[in-house]
Amino acid sequence: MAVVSRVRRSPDWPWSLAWALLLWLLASPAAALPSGPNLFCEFYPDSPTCGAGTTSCATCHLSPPTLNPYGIDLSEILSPTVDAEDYAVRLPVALSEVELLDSDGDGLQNLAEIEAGSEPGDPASRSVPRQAGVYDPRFAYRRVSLDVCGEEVASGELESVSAPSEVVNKLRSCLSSDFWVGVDGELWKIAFPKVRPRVPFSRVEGAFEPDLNLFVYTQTGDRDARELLTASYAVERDDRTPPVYRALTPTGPRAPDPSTRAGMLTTTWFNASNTMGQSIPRVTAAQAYRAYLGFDLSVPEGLFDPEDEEGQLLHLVDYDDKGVDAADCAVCHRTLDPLAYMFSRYAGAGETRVFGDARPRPPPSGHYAENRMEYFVGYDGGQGLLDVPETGALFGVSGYTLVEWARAAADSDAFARNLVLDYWRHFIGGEPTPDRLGEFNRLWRSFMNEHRYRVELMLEALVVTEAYGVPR
Amino acid sequence: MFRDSRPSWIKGRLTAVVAVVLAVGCSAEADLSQSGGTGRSVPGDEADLGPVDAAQPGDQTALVSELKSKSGRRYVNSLAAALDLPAQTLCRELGELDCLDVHGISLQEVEPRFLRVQSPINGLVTGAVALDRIAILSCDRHVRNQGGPPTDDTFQRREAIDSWARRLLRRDATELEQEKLEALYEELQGESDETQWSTAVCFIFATLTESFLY
Repeated sequence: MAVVSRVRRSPDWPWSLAWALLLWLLASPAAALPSGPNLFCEFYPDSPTCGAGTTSCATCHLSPPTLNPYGIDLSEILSPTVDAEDYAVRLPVALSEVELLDSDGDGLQNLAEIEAGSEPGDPASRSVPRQAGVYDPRFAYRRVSLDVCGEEVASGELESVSAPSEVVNKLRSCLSSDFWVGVDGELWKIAFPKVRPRVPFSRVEGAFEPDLNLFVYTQTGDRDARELLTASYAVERDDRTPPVYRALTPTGPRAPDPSTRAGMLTTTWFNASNTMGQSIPRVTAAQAYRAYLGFDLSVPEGLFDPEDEEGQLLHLVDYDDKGVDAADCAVCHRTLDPLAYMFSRYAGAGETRVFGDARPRPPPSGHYAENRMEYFVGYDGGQGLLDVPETGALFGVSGYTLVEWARAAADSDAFARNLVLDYWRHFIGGEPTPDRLGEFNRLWRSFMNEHRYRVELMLEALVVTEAYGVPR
Repeated sequence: MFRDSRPSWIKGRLTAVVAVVLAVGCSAEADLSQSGGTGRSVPGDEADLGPVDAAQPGDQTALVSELKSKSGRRYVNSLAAALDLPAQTLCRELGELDCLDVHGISLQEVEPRFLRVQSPINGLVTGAVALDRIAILSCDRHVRNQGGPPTDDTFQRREAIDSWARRLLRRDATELEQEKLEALYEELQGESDETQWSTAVCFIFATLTESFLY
């Protein structure tokens, strides 16, 4: 379930005053606010770009904070905006007022573009009416053979193909191929941007393979793909051709506590390669957010103002004295830091070496250590580190430990959409175009429901879509 | 120094082969656009070129975005199957190294673990060179191993051209391809043996845009 944050200002929240003062002093046109994409989708819930409950910054920005023509039209109506509450009230009015304009001059009114799924501020984004097409089973069959089996169809093989069911049968036969599940196979390549393997580091070469094994395991067979984020087990690989992947529960005195495991988020490699020596693992959190929910905070995407249980906006604290509470930084760090808090008790790389024997030895990378912040006082922050909470926020709702967050994230629209998007890119060859957004949105919603998060069932539906099987 | 492993005959006839590649390639790309990437011939190929050129700009964009490159492994697997050669030994640089490993990046077979590349590289200028090397070495090996189809008269050569097209592209040759490849045969007459013409035809079909896009 998508949780969309509601912006309510706490009377005693000093940030609101800072915001208001800054905006007032600068007298800037309506500045970008994190809640903008969410408010847009509350106003246009049926827009194909709002499939996951929020839209991208590109709707109003060339690159934040620079506005595109549509954003400029909105800002002229919104300016001057004094605070988030004012912005939330006035943005819907402004959206209405510019609906009949053609902000980007591409010949289509803004409302028509929003309803069709193209960008009203980008003249290159136009929803071109799709030509009527007929699904061609032979075309799709050949594509499946190349996409999943990695080889051209045999001579004469296409001649007997006449129905989509044969495309599905071909897919099923290819899903166990070495090309698909093998070492350096296609599933590994889909996982690479999430795992971000790096060599040469001779000491850790191959250290990322358990992550790739876990990825393949959760994406194959009758398995729930949400275990990417919820698995408490590890996966080993038997290197046959094709390899066999097996789940196992690590044992022994240095084995991690299964109750603290959150699939790909708590592996040795993920924490070693991302956290390194940070007390508050912001890089780790940002990568988790980008890789598994599709929100890239560097753009910035997926900004939500975290609230407490009473719905009051939470105060951002600069626990490690990095200056994250400066106004320009806080725009993103209000989302990022609560994500990073959840990783703050999971060890990164080389912490044993850094702290030597003078203090208790930290656990191996990716393992939970309740007192981890103690190690960093004086190294990467001051006494304030001891106050870093262990819980963080998801979509503006706070109070999650990492394990709880992973479960909630895995159930979210964003997770399903992002995972299906990975496969869409692989099979279709790019992002969903405006004329295919409807088909794409139906696919990831089906993945959550009819397909019960089984990737292979979703792929069977994908290869019989028009997007895949109608030659142009 | 590196050893030039191209078959010796092609070094002297490169201009002629390249000319045919370009001529046939242009016609094949038009065919591809009309057949939706399946490579199947469309009736009235050349007469239909007009409407394709006159299509709406949006349609052209969609056409490009939905074609995909086979990338290294898919291309090598497909070529190996078509030429009855094991993929592992299809092409070896210096007689030792698998071309797919040597030219991995240029074939868009990205090895991100070593380069920290997180998304595919497109449009590398060396891509076509690497494909050419794999294709010419593979075709040469196939023809040396199995010989080409008979080419004693025009009819046999037409059959041979169709045979190569079916083997490599899963379709019959177009009339333009027949015409250009017959002309190449005439040009090579007296300077090389018939297996070299077969290798050239194989190479030309194996390096058409159609053969590595789908």
